[in-house]
Amino acid sequence: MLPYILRRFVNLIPVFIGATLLTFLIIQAAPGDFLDAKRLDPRTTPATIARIERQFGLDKPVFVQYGLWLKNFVTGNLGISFESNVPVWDLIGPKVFNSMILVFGSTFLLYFIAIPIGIYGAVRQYSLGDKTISLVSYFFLGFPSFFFALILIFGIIQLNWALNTKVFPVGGMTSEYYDTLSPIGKVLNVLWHTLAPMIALLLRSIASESRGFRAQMLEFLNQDFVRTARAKGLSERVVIYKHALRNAITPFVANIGGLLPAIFSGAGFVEVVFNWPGLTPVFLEALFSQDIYVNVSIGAITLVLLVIGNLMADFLLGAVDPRIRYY
Amino acid sequence: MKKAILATAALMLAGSAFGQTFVYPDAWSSSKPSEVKEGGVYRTSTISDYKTLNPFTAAESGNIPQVITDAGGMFAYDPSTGEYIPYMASSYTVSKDKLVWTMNLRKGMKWSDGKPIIADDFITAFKINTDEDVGANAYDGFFINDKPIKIKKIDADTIQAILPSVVADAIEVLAYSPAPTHVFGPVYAAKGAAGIKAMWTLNTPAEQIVSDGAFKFKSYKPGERAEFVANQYFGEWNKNSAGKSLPYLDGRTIAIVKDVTASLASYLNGDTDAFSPANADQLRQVKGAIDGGKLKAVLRANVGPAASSQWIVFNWNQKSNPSKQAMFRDDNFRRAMSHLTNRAAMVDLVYGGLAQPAYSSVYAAFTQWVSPDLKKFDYNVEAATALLAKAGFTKKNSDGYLVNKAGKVAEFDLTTNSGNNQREQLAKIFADEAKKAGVKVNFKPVDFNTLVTLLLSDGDDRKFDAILLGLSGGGRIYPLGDNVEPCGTNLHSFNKSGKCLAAWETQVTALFARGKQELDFKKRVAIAQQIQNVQSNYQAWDYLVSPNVHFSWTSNIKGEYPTALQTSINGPRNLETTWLQ
Amino acid sequence: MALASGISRNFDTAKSKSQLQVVWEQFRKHQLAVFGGLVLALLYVGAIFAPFISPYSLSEYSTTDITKFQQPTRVYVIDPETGQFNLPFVYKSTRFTNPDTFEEGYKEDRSTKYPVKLFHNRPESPFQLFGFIPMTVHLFGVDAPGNIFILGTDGFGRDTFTRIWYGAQISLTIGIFSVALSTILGLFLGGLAGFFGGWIDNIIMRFVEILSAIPDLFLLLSLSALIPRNIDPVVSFYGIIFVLGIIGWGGLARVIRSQISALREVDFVQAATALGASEMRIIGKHMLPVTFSLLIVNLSLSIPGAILTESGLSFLGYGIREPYSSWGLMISVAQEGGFASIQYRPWVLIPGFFIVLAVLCWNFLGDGLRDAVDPRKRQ
Repeated sequence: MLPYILRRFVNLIPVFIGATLLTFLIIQAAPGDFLDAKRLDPRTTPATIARIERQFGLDKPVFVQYGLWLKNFVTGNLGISFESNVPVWDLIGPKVFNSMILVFGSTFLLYFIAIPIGIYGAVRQYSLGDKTISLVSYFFLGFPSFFFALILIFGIIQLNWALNTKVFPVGGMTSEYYDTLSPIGKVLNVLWHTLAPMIALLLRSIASESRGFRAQMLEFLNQDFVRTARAKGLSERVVIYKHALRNAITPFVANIGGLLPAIFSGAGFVEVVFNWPGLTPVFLEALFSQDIYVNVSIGAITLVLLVIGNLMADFLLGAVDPRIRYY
Repeated sequence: MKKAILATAALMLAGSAFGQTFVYPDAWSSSKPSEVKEGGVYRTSTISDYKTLNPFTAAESGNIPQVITDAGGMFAYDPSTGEYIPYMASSYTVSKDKLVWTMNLRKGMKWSDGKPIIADDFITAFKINTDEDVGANAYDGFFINDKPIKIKKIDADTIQAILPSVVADAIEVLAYSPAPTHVFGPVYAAKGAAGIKAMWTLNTPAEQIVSDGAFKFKSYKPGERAEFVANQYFGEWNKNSAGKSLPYLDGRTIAIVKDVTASLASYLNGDTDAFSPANADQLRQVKGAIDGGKLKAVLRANVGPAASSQWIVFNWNQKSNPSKQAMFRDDNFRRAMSHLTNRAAMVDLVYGGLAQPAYSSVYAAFTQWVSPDLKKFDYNVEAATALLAKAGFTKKNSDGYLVNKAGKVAEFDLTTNSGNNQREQLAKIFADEAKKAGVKVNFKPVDFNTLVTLLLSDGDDRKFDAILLGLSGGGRIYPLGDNVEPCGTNLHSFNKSGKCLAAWETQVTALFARGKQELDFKKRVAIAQQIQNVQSNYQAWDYLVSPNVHFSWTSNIKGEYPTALQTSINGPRNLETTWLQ
Repeated sequence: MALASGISRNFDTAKSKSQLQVVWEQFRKHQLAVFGGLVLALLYVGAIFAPFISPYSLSEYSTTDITKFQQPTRVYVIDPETGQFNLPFVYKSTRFTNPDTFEEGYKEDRSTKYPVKLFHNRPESPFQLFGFIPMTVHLFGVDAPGNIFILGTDGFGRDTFTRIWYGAQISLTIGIFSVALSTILGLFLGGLAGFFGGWIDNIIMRFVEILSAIPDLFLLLSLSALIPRNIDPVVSFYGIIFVLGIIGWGGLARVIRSQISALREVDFVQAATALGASEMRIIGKHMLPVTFSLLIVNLSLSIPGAILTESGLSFLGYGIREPYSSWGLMISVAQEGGFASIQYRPWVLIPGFFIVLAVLCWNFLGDGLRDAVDPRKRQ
């Protein structure tokens, strides 16, 4: 297994370099740069500009700048944020964790919820429940997530008012009394805050994934070996859960890796609307002020996280599909 | 200035009863000293993340260093009289020629780490602020007509400032806050400006951040909240009239809520204690929640016009585009633009009626200062058309736009910062109305940084046509802009060639300097009004509207100013005397 | 998140007219798909005739007779005063504000009736139908000073109904154009990779891998930031199409590549090669047609995604810009109004339901097409 992981990582090096270089080039190509505002500010002397340029290597060609960034990245140094003058990692490190809470939390919940719904849809094909579910899913698929989030927040306020208590918070990740809580209390407090963003994030992906899983299940339920199993007189329960489900779940698990970037993007919108201190708000702000190392580092870190996610999906796949061996 | 000394004497009397403590006047709070309770946390929100904890490099308004030095510096503003009173100074004297100010420091003042606040701290702050390499925001304040103020230590408790010339707002300049020498001094001595700029970043542990104000920094989680706790040493020298130590609060938190809807949501949900509605919509929601019994809160609507301005400025420095340069320098063209500014529609459409038309460079909040004789070019398409004809735009082309003899279309780009809804709406209304007179205005929003860059650029060839932006801040003693009105200053945004181009600019520059040195209040006001009258006739800035200010806070937050003192300039409350019921 | 694997496996390589008929018959059995197709047809026709259907111009509002956030105009067929049947008419609404509650609203002024006129001539809002036929006649309208805002107005007092149809022109085409662009890219690059294999395949597929490794949102935002803010809004419209187009082609390229490389081994292609047909001819004549139905399905399932992405971009401030209108822009403006939009003027949210409707119908259509071309799903 270890050689497998190593090989995966070696294979990923060119992708990593390509993706970060591409991000770097795109962001550098945007009109203007961070120093533009400073250059015209009479209080900033040309000497200061030159010093900042030197300090950040901004006077060098793009590829050299990229090389510098990459070298630093490998040694664990993500550069300095121009805007707030602190190491980029200090700025985005905590946010990586915050975003991960949403991304991995919702991925886990997604499978947890989408699979049963998909099974139900496949087993009770064309039943009233199935039709309702699929209509509702279609509906959620069409809803822009930011729009849905706004309606959700509005609903929460009305609910809180109606019950005269804070059933759900309307944004943020922690309560202001967070620091006074016990460790368990802290975890619960964060989980409480994840509820609403998770709902906004999940409804869409559940809608698409459960439909996909339903199709997958149906395919296997109509296949010969299932028919054989039924003919053998196995109970429907065994047929569904042992034969069809195990087969249908394999490609589904394999797809986690492919889903993660999409969930990441979806989480981005939710972070913005729910004021969740994740990576996307930072990314947007840095894009605005052209704080380039922040942008590229966020890109690179999500890339690494996605790779880890993919690897985890691989192992999971190995667990559900005995045919897969790592060598 | 006489007025200021009288007020001082009254306070001194109160002060002497408690030795060297500063006693907060009862007039600053609507609560009686006997009824206040101690404890509790005051929760508010802000719209953007903090960039630094460093008082010398922080530039954005409402930054953390400002939060923790909220109480005042050498002098403090007295909202009940509108004057500055000695705060960290216990008393001061001014020489006969008004050039030498001698300030005696209050005894017993302490930093939040328990070290005494001493004369050296004011010297350190002065030195670092006036170090060009530090690039501090306060830098310009220590210069009068480009000549530096000199500040020196006389003895452990006495500081002397020598002004290069007489100036009306000297006390405002000298109201600056000290910097802890025991923290900044050694670094400045060893590493100079670079060392100072590297200090007190967001990473600096809270124990190292020293405060002279009522609160000290506790923690900051970007994207979440900043927390502050009461500075226990503050109470040793700041008390109420009953002798109780201030502040009453245990602390305050400022949540980072990046979106106005979200910050309203958290107020309605009871997650924050105060909110300032920005328009009729938000007022209506807050009012609805209060009336519906969902929110127990106080709402003060239409407190007054905002202490800020909004304008469209035309670029006079366009060497590479002589026809446009000539157009913008034509007085009649600019007057026509003012005639095409539909301020009533802006008030109605953008602010839901809760705003007033603006015509002056002095913020409408300074009611005493705004000239009653301003020349007003109100919305009038016919008058604008006539003025445009005078400016040479007599015929219309096939698209319905005006052209002059040279065949140039009356057309320009109007820029503002994207993402600011209200400004974008104002710009759109202006562009749509201009079209009715045959003037083609291309609305082009840009990023805020780019916009400021364009506006601040100087020389005789600047790369923009017209910018819609606003100003805020500035002094209270002479509420015209030091860096706005005179030629050659940083925000003299229509002409940044460095010299006056029009005769009236020269006149305004001279008047401004005269007003700045005029110590008599009435005469100073008269000069300021004369400046506004001249400016209004030439419309270098086309002033738009001045929105009303509204405050709201939850009912358990007490100690706000008496209603008469709640103005857009003062704000709703003094945090030192705010308490929780 | 279409599961493309299900489509590509058993693909009919023979294709004839009867095949098309089979697909059509299958498609017709899929009721939702037919419904989706019909609604979409209506929407697209509406978009084409937008200036005619709309009673006003795209950006028209009055600063003398303020109509800001006016509720949808009620069209009466029964006179509320007399209770008698009447030809459709409307009343003019007058604005009121309450300085205590800060409530703003409109009351009908029942003194004058304004009949709703079909083929109403309104010279104040001229337009060019299809971009070249000058007209001033609108499908319906009322005489001044009456107003007819059947879906209410926005914060400037502009007619929502009008802006929805003008917005449809952008929202609906942005989907098609950007997906067309990504299809061409996907087809071309995927085809190249699949056909030639070797290092070309390697390079293209590595690039696809790189693109798919960067989270879409970050890539999208970075690319959108390339479009200068002060550029002409038309150029920024093309810019957005371009950005959406270059983000979406990777997945399709993968599918096409695997199809084509499988096809390379199929008899009729080998025969063509043996007959000396050029490579381009083989790709164009023999291989691409086979992937055609796959493409149609892919198109119809990607377009809704592009429509949603555009609305998301508008929300984050990187989308379509004034004076143009798109559903995404309209809904993001409504979003900026916050809860006031939901509470006091829900009609500003209507463009959101148009987004939902269009996406829904494209999904119906796409699913129907997918099932119809998939022989295993035939009933």
